[in-house]
Amino acid sequence: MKNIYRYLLIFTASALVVSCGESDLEPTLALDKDLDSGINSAADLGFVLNSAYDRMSVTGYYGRDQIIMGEVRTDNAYANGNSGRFSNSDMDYSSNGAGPWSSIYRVIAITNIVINADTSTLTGSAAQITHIQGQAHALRALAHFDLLQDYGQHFIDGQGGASSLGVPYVKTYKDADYLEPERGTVGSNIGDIAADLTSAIGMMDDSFNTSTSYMTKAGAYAILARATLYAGSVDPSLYATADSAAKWVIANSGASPVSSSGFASSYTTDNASNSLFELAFSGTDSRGINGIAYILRGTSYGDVRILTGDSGAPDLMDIYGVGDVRGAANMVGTAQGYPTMLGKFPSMNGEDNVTLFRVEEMHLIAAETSLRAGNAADALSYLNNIPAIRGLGADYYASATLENILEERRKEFAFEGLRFHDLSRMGMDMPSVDPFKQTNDDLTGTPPAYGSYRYAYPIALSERNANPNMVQNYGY
Amino acid sequence: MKKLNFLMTLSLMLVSFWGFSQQVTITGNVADDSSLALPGATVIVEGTSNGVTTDFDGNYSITASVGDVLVFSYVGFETKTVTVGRDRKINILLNTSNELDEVVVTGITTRNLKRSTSSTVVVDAAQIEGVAMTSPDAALQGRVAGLRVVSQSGTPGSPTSIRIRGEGSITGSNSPLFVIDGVPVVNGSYSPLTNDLGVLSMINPSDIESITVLKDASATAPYGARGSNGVIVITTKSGSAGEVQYQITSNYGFQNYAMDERPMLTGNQRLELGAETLINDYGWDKERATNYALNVFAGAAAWDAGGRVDGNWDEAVKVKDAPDAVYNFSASGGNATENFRLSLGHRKTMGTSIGVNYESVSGAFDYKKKANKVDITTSVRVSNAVQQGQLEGSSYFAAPQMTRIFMSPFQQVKNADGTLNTNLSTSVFNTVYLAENNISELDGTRALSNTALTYSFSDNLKFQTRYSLDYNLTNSHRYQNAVHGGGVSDNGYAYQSTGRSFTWAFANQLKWDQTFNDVHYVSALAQMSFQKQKYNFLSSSGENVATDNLIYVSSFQTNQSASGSFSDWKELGYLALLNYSYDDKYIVDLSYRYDGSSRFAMDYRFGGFWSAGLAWNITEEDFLSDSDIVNNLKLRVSLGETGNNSVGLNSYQSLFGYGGSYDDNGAVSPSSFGNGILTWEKQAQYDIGLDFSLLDNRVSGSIVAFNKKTSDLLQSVPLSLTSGHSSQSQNIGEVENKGIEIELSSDVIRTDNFTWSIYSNYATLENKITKLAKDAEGNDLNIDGGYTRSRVGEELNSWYLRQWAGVNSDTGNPMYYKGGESYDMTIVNSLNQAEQTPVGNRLPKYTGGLGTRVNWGGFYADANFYFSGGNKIYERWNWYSQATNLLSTRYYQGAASLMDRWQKPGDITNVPRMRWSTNRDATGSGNSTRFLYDGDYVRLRDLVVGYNINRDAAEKLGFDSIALNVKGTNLWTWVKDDGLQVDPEVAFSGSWEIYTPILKSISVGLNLKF
Repeated sequence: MKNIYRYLLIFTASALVVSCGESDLEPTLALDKDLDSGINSAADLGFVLNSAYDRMSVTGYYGRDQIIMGEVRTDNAYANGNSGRFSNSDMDYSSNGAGPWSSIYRVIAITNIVINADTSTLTGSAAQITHIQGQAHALRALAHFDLLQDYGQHFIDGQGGASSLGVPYVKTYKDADYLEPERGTVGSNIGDIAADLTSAIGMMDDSFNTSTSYMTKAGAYAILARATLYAGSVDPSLYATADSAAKWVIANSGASPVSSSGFASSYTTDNASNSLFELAFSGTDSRGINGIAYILRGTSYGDVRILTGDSGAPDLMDIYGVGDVRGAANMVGTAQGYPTMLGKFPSMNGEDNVTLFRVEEMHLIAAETSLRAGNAADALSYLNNIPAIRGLGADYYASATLENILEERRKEFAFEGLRFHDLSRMGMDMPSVDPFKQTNDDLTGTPPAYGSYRYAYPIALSERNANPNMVQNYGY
Repeated sequence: MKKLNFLMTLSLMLVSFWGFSQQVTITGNVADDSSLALPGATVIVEGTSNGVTTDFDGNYSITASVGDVLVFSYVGFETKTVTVGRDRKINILLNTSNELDEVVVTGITTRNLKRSTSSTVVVDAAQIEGVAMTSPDAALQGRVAGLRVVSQSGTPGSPTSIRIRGEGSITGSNSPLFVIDGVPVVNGSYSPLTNDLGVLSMINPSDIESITVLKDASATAPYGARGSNGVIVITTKSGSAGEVQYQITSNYGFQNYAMDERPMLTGNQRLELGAETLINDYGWDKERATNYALNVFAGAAAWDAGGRVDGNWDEAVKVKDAPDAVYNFSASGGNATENFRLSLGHRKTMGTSIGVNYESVSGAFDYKKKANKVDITTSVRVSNAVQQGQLEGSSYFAAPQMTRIFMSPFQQVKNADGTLNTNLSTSVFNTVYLAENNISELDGTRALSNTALTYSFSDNLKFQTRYSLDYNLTNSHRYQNAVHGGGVSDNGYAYQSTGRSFTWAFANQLKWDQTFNDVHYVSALAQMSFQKQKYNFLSSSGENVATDNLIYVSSFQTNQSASGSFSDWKELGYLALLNYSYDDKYIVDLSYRYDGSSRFAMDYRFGGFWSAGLAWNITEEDFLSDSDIVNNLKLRVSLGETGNNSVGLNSYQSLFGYGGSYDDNGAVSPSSFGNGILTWEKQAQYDIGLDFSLLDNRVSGSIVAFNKKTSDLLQSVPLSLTSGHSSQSQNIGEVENKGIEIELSSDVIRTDNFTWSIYSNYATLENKITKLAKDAEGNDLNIDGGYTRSRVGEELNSWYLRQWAGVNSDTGNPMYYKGGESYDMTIVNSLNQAEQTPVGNRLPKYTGGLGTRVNWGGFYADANFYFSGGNKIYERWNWYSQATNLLSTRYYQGAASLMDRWQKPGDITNVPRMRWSTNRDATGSGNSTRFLYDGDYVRLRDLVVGYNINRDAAEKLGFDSIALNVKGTNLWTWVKDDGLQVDPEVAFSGSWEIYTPILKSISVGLNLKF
């Protein structure tokens, strides 16, 4: 009898020890928080917006590729195959897709989380919350603008210009009704971009500005100036908007162009005086071997070099005049035996900030819009502002023409990612400098001509598989 | 007279009674069937309480009467009875009870083989010991029908992958569950580096008694949501009865690549082809082109000036005859109530690729005790393994195997003074220098303890509780030097990490079995089990070191960064098993398991899994029980449902991740799209089989047909990238695997001194997707990729490539077939004009093994072949080495087969003409069927020749037994497709990747028992 009680006690004890239920199966969420309960204050909203900036800094977007692809397909640079990057395969116009589509939409997703957040429940300053949402609107516009330039069909022969296919303009996050969006037209995309920037300008408040590593009102005007200038090739009425935006920045932003003596060091200084918007990188938060410096000058990469040649169109080394600091030995020179850009993105570990918008661009935009509006004197004045502070003296140009504005843009923004889009919006073919080096040609022997389907990237297979409303670009 | 008769009869009777009832002393010895004494065996007079036990030498002395029956018994052995007669000395040999009544180990319980309804295959210790690979599951290759083992890399210590009966999961894991001594263990690896230390390789193979593979529903359903990919049950060796027996085993072998890999160009060939690119495209003459190449191509001028001596990179990265030494020591002994086993093992293996080696040490202790009604068993095993690895798995410039394929022969390995050349004019590194100066090391320690207490209420009712503690610590260390290699730009780089996982599990079960009326046998089992794992990971890295030879992160002061993380999971399950047998003729096996896991959302955590098995032992029936021809015939059917819960931790939750940073401030972003209704994958399986044994057990085997349907497959359903996410996990798809498995073995000759037997197995597999997720318009969301596709009605990830049509003999340009769904055979001239076409299977349609064994006196020889076929293999990384352009002749390296290139109109060849270009697609090395080969092959997997010195001779030398053997692994391979010049044993993805090649080895072994 005694034994039975003893065993009963033992088994009951062990049963209690071992009994478990559903609550014992709750996993530990040690590193993440639930989406529904993660945003509670203005500070939380700010941290979420920071990830939009962080996602813009990835190698596939402004961390390297967006800048490099704007140069390596043009007469400024070529890829020498050292690590196999950016040679024809990266510009391999195959149906598997190319370009920053997914990287950019990841940025847009964050901006939508911020824009659509329920602000009534957030603690903190309402004005600051609005400022954060204004930044998000500006970033959303910039991201869609980059998508439009890379994938839009407005320059392709026979696609319809303003009514040709643009990109889906996404304004929601995890909304079940809009998970498979259609492509809007180029015209409607431009309208949405302008609308977002206008909202951004209205919502931002300069008292909350910290540094140019974050979006500001001046930054939003700068985006508006560039976007409407480029969109002007599709809809010329937008040149006026570009004109007023650029002039606003010149007058009100507080940024000033750097002088010839300060030119080289402006590339090693974070948040320099001419910067309107830049992306922050540091020693611990850089792209390293996957960054811009490494693809220009790295020993085992170093694929992308200045394109030089004697028999074709003028190369970058030929166009700088004597005394031009942009052509000086500390800016443009040789590394590993090949000509390359030395002065921009100088730190090999990628810790230099990448400046996306600077006030010099506003001057050249104002020059071009003034010229297009018929105001040649203003155009010449804005145009000559730039060579004057680059060691070439005042009144370098005798008159302002679209050709010499384009040439000045080439000299000033070499290796900053604008060349491809400048040539395409001017309706030009990609010049042939040295076909021996420019092997990015699908074996036709010449770089693509204006109107070729290769002026836009193909849409990725994964997107077309997942989204029945997605239409592939012409020619792929 | 009558009185005398009566007196004589009476006295005779008295005498005879006296004779019968006279007590005599019987003495003797009790031993086992190998004549080892059994101390503590019991000898009793049947029907009385008169009994003794044998002494330390197995001797006994008992008083009994003539005619009494003496019963000799010992735990684990068959009881024997002897009637007392004239002999006063009775010596007995007892047989182990398992010999006649085989037992099947299912990991949860054991089942008498006659009463089992399931498909199980057992691989025993003799085949596992001495296996050349460091992971014991490599021994299963070719021995189990329907099981495929792949060691993707020849790096010692690297993990293997296993598939049982095809693949049922698209995004989840297809690996089976491993159970060691009744406890499911976590397999896989914890390495943050590209080299890997398989966790299973930290169990010493010589500690394994047997590996049982469970394939069908009634065997795997008791494992619930982890059983759908099959279960591999590992049973470790335990102590044995008798005097303490010692055993020493040593093996010493040499390893090389199993197959020579694809040969590459020599320097002169490279120059010739490089010059030809200019001749073809620009019309230059040969001299001008060659001079241009000599002046402009990197390294060519120096190579020419140095007498055109090629840098021999192929030999430089290979280690020939890499030694492999294994030493094991064990001791075991015991008596009727307790026994123990202890073991110690050491293994040291050098890799066949430079800079790779492996060393492990392990120890184990097992103990069993019977104390009244309680049985206690406990085991502890601890092991440590250190692996020096190199980068592998992709085209890392620092990977030695990559150097063989990408390094130009113009570059020299060494300078003229004998030092290693670090001044290469190419971006590929001198991996010989890196192998000597960089570090990529993994150091793993594992401690596994397993204890079970069984309380027997009675012979029929037992309660068992089992708990296990499993601690795994993996340290990694990576160092890149500042002189040459990937660490140069940062002036040195160091990384260290520590991953610790602790898993504890316990299970309580109550088991009851009873036989009623001698014919009804019922066994019931109820079990509750709980398992929890927690995992901590910490890492740090730094750059910029002041001087050489400092390799730890503290010396790297620039950009020091650190990260830490934690994760855990839990599993809870309840199980009920019922087994009923009628007269061992008709058997029914039922199980039900209710399983819960922390990987799923609150209301979706639990699921139920059942199975039913039926068997009919036909030979127990009257019409067959006396048959001389048919010794055993059993028909069995099993069906049931299991599950697969191998989804990422926390993946049902939509979460914000806090790991990002911008401008030194935190950046918060959504880390997953989440799916609140995520649940298990379910699998319904049925199989029907026939086991047979004929002609005095000379021919035996089984035939099984199976069908597995997996549904609610966890599919990573692609989302439009405009959502900011690329995919979401949903339970949607369905896949079917079916096939036939045949095992056949035969003792062709069986005499006292000579036996010859043949054994074989064969399995077929047909894999088909039956359902996929659909998009908004109701069309299947086909999973189409650059090489493979998954569509309804086809195999999972079957090949989907553009079709190569050869080279145009007039122009030397590559040609393709238009292809597409209609298999259009029109020839087109560019890769982009061709369409991807379904071109073949990735999974082998048939696999199997064939072996033979000969025993002659003390000699034995065993050969085992493995074959597989019906699939195609894709050789990747051809884009560079088989491109007929500058990539193969100027920038990297080309394959020797490029010498067959087209040169003039009229040439018929498969290699296009050389072009001055870096365009891969236009020069024929883009993705196409040009690099898709038949994967059929036969391999001599194991060959052993051994000799057991006879007992008398051994005893004269002081040993109980001495055995020698010579063992070879992967000695010979036949590949069907002449074009395939790499090892056909590729990973389950079907593609050949850059890894250390698979090994072949020859070793000599010695086994001593004393």
